[in-house]
Amino acid sequence: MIAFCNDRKAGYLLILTLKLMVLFKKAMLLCMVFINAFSYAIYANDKCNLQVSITAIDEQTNQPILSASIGFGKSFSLSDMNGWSVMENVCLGKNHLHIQAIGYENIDKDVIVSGNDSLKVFMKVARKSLDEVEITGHKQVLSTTATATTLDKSELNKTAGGSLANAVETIAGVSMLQTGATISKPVINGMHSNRILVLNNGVRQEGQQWGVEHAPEIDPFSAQTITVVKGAAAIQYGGDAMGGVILVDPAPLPTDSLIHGSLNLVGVSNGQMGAASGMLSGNFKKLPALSWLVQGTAKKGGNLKTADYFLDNTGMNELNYSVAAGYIKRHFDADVYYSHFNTELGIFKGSEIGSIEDLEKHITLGRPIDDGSFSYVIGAPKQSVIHDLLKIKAHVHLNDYLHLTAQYSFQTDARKEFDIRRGGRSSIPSLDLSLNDQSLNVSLDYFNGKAWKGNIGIVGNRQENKNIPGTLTTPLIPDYISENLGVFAIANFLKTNYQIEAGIRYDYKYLSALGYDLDHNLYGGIRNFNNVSGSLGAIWDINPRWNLNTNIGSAWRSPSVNELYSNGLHTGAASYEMGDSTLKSEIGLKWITSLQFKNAGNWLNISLDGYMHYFNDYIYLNPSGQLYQSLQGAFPTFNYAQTNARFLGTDLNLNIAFLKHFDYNLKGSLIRAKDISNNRYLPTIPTDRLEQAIRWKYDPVPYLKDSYVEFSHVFVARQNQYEPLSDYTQPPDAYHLLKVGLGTTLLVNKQSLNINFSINNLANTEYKDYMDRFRYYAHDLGRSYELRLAYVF
Amino acid sequence: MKTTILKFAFLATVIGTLTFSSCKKNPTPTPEDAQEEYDASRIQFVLLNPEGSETTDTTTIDFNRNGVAAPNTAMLMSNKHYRMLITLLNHGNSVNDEVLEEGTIHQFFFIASQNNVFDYAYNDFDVNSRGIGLDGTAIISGPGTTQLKVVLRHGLDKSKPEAQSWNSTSYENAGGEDDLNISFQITAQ
Repeated sequence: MIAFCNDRKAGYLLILTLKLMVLFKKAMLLCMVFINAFSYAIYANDKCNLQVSITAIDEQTNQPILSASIGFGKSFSLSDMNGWSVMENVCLGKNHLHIQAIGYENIDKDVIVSGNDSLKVFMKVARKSLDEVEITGHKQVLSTTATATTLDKSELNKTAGGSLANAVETIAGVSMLQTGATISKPVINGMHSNRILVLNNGVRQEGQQWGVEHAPEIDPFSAQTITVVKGAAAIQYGGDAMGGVILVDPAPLPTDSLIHGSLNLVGVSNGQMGAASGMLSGNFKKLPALSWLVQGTAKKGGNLKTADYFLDNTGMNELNYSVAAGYIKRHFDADVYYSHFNTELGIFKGSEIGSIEDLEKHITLGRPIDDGSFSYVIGAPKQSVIHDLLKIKAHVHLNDYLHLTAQYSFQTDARKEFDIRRGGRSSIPSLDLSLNDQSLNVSLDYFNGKAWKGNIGIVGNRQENKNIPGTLTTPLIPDYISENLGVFAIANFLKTNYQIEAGIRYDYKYLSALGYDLDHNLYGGIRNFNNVSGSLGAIWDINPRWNLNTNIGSAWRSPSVNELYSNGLHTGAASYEMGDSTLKSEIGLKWITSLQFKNAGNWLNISLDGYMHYFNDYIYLNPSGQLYQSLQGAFPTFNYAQTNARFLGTDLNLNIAFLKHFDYNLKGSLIRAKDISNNRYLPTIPTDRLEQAIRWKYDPVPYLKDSYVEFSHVFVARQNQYEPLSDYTQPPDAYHLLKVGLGTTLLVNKQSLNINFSINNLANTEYKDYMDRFRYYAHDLGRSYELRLAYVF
Repeated sequence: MKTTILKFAFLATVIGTLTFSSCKKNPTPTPEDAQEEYDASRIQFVLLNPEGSETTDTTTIDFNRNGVAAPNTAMLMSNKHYRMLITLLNHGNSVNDEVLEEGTIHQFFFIASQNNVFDYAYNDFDVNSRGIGLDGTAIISGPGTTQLKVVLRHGLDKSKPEAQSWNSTSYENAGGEDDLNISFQITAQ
């Protein structure tokens, strides 16, 4: 794994990098001094008639702190049950903030006030004497100017048992790309596969994501929060984050000496699926700085059902577990994380097709010939994926302002795909890929608690992919070795009402691919890619009612191995695909602006995002209009090509609270995408969607919390913007889906039991979704009764 | 303390970079002996005597990987019976036994463009006594010319009405997928 090789060039490069880092730090300190001096000059005149509201929140549980003593400047107050207090007659400029609350670490900080403001202060539990608390004047989890939405545990509990794509689909602008009902991938603003990045506990998920039928190998049960970032976040996370990033973050390691845990149970009628997931975490009494966490999930489902018939061979199994340990001290912390993901997915039997004639017949019928039946048995065709991830991270405070983080990760992905074959070969995989990926990130963070934040880092990555011999069929993609090196720098200027962010990144990628084709000829080659990405963004809290985020960022993506070297019959897709080894990198520029409004009475909440995404050399599958003739019949051929493309879109999220206990929520999204070089529409673009829900919230008794009954309606429009040649048939009709749900949380002592029950596709509508690659062969899911329990202690 | 940490970071970065400059720069793939893709097919018409015994007169049509027939026309005699043998080949070797082993889910169908030239009867049967089609009797009437499409369906339900005749044009409704879909011309004279 780690081989020591004597390479002087590497050593010189390193010394240069470190010298740059030290220089940058000096430059930043200088900058900070200058800006501070400048701001004091501006705010020289005294004004003491400002109002500042302060909310004290428990950092770990996100619960408000009652009766915290808050002193700000000359004012003093006690926080109410919402952790809230208002400071009157606050002077412009520097004010000292002092917060004291039983069980928590005191806060003593200087804050610069430039106008009426609201501050959220996160307080750490007193047992651990940790480092300084970050005061954030903003409501986001991440300090990023790109639009980000976080799903917390209460929202994740409603989709528990589903895939990662199911979990994030509830966010406006996020949809799914399906390959039948068992395989789904998330789509952010029209981007998916290797145009979005999935970060699993801070590690880039690497697992053949170029394949549209390769779903992310992540267990959503392991997440405490899932955040979707909709901007081109390539600066922090590297290439591939063109359309956005999905951050899957686990529960933080506990800092008290109790054993914590949770148990989730899910039962779904469609597919008769059951899932159980448990988590335990704790601390060592003799060594309180050392915490641990273990988690495991088991899932099993059988054949799924559409409105009228069963989908044969759509069962699934999953067995996952993860282990984490952390050592947390005042100025240093380290953690280790290991996760194992193992799934077996049945692929709908009716999707096995021979030639274009077969396909046309399937399309005419639009559904399988037989009604199928229920079974838990999974046979060919199917996928079997095992994914292991190891992460080691260390974080140290060089001084009060400067933090150093180093992270090493190692991943392996073993992906086997089985087709229906003769001669007993159905049990031999026809695709057997083994991938391993190593990454080392070192970064330096600067934050002086006031106005300046900076971040520089260096990232190195090495990936190896092998086709395991013995499949008795020619591999689809060659073996390859890929190495990446990236260096980046980000600076944030933070004021209480606004924030400006700028970033720049340089990436180098080396790709060496080699494989044997059908006639045992060697093919492949070596490619080198270089790119610079940049981003600029701002957040502006215009006033307590209006908030604006805007971010413009460039990102790039080198062509993936299948785009470069595909050359063969893709029987599963009834097509013959040809790669182009001369493809260049894609460069994208995304500008996303998000406007948020909350009215004075606080009963109306609107969030509107608008984005423009331009691509140079966008890679896509172009239908050549020709047929490839083989013994099995004729197949349409597609070749990977590049063009310039633009995406325009908008996402809306609106909430109206009325009649004391009611809520109306509306979510909408639409995308318009075009190949602007050829003035054609692009294939597989999500259709217009509208989702509305009415919710009644009422807690009948004190030990029940967050009780609700909800009725929702989803409308998905027909895709009218498509090129007839690029698709085998017309897009499916628009459809409506109805859903009813209810839930509550039972509180006993410090334990809680969250219960959610829903009936999905209430009207048992028979429908097909344009973004389902199996829509030619079958319909989407019928009615389903779902029960979800989450017990936390 | 700070210098120690920086030294540690330096070391971590060094190890990292050295790992990435480590020896193996190119992959070493293994050629795969593709077993199941049959790369050729052959159809033979063996002329039969009136009482049913075989003669030595054989007309052979070979199909390459792209399904192209050579020659593209089988010149046969009108009002004669032929034994029609279909062979699936991989690297020159017949893989017919694999089809026979899974006989219950394999069946050949023959679709002629003209009615009065080609007629057929299965000679081989699976364990449920249903025809397969690797071995059959072709009854040539004519004179005339017809295109003949030969389809091997894999994974079908042979009990379905659409699978009951060798020339069922709705064979897809019996399920399964095309494993072979080739076509050539028969001229009966």
